Amino acid sequence: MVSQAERDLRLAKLKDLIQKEGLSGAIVLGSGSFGPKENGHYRFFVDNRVYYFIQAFFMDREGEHVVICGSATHQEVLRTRNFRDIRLAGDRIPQVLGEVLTQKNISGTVGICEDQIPASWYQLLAEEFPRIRFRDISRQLYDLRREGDGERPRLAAEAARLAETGYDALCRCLEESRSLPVLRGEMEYAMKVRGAEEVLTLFSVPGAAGRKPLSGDAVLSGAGALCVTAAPRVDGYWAPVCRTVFLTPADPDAWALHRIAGQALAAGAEKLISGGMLREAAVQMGRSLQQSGCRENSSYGKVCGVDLYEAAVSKDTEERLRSGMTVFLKVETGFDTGSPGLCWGQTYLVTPQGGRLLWEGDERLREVMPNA
Amino acid sequence: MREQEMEKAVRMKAFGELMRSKALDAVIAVGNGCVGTNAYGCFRYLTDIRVNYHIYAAVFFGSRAPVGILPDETAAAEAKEGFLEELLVSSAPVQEIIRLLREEKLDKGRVGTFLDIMPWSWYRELRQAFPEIEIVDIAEDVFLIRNHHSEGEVEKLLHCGRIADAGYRAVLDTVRPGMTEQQLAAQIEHATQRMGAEENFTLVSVGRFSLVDNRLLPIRAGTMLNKTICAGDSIAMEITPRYQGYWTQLVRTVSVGGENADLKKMHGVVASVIQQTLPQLRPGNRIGNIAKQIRALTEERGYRFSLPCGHICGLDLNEERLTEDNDRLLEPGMTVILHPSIVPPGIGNGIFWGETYLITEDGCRCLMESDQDMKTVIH
Repeated sequence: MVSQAERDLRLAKLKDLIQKEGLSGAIVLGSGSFGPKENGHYRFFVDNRVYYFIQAFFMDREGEHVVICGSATHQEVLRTRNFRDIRLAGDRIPQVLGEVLTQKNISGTVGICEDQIPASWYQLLAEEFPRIRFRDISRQLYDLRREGDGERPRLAAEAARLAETGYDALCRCLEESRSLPVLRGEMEYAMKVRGAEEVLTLFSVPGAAGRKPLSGDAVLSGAGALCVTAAPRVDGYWAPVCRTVFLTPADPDAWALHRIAGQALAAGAEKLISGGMLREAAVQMGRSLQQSGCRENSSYGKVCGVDLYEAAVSKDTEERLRSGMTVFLKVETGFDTGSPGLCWGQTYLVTPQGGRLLWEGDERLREVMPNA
Repeated sequence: MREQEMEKAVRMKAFGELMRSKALDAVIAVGNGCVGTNAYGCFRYLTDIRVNYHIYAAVFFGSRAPVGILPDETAAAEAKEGFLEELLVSSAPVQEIIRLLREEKLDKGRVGTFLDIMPWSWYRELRQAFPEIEIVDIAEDVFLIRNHHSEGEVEKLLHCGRIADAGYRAVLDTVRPGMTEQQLAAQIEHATQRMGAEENFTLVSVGRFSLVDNRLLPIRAGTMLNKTICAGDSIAMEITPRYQGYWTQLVRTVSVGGENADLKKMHGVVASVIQQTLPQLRPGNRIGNIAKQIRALTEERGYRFSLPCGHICGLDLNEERLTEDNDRLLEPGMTVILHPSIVPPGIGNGIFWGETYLITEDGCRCLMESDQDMKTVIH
């Protein structure tokens, strides 16, 4: 979990925001979903992992706050975060949220995240509290998250380290197995046993016509390469890595694509300068790919933090970079020759000098042949 | 006909009838990555698409093929494995939905959706675009048709039961003092993933169970308190894998390093309550009767009845709770997780024990093969 000082700081910022915006309070919801960025708000302010249904947090203008959770388990955990007013609600979270608004005699304007609150919850609250005006404050909450987060570099670096550990485990396992469930199991185990609270793993086979995602019980057969994106989460913070592992000897095109991908990532990382614009990284990476004779990508990764998808790294993203932000840069490269393409990516920390790798992993192209 | 195509045909027929009976001109199915109430299983049922991130949508019409709307190319490529043939990628899904409805000239009529999932911003934009369209919630209606599991679905549930067994075996094989709750959860998920679990909802708790000075707190995700196992501790677990969309749950408590007499005593109570409740798991009986029976048996033994005592599972983990006021009738093919909360006097919670049962034509059968014995692990 994040430190108490950091948590207090975040809550103080939220109180300031409520007062600055002239709000009577703010409602922040959390669920087990991730992406887009709204799903990180609750984790940021409450620092509790929601894995079931939805939890709610309400702060009033004076900074008094209530957390509404479904079970005694969460109540116990929230106590360790020094929350005092924790309401147990089972599946009646919106109803208890209404009770809190009534008890506190809330009127005026209350901030919500319109892209997150379920329509049924909004209808319930709007009907019950006709005198309250609900206003979307998602962007403002996200801005608070971007302002500088004392825990993000440390925890995201730990997640990046685990991502590398998972990738190593995958490569070892590929010597023995081509079964997707086994590969996924081994890779995620390596990360979870070392502290990853959850992992999103995506497998695909790179091909001339783009990547073909693999899911379910598939067994790799005849694939020349496997592309994996592994995104572990540590104390809320995500840090993905993307690699392409060759399952047959990599041909000269593959080595060339690996070099090109590395150059494009380096070019993008140079632009991850605090104060700069995120789109600059995308522009630079596209230019690098073009100069190498490869097609540009539509997206080059994403900002990730307490949500996995906070903003896309693309040429039309209006996002100013700040020190301490973490950005997953990724490229998909390929030639028009019909040979398989290559995907490669990793997570960087934004600094005044440019992007710094969160974890110095092994960036060599790996060829993993099955054991005899 | 492939199994998936048969399943799709059955579902679309039932769903088509639902749309007609509710006079729906279109349905906007939305899905996200949450686990919880029965709305969350509806998108998977209608599309056979697993939602990894963001919100996925699919628009169903009476007159044309449904259209899926995915957040990126990766999601769209994965979605090709599902039921939908037409898939779009959009970062503005609600605008895409509005465009599709306009294409079909649906400026009035009734549109169904899942209001517990659809974000308010989507709903508001739809209302603004189509002030004469009535948007109605149909999560309960879709739940009613998907609550009858087909043979194919039952096969998946049975396999998921075996996966849960494997998770439990992994615990018995590997648990030892010094491990943390998260490491224990990792062992469970390692075993279940290797057998094909697409995700896990693993909850654990470590601490010595005692009828006097109980240290075994309610179960939670491994990293939340991340206690370390000591000799003499009890370990409570909800082993909950998901296989091809379907959840099952095996709930077990074990002792580490030595037998725990209090745990053994409570296990006897819980196991006997479950055994005597099983006759209630039969077609035609009301779900509420299960909970009433558990209460009666619990109180008869001098303990306090508490919730949760179980839930219906399927494409969502907690489709509906087993509560005394639940009047829904049990039918063959439904799956019920029984895990009574039996609280001894003077302490806050009891032990954790239970499993998943399939309602059959003449009663029920357990989806797991793990035995009912209380285990003491000494490594």
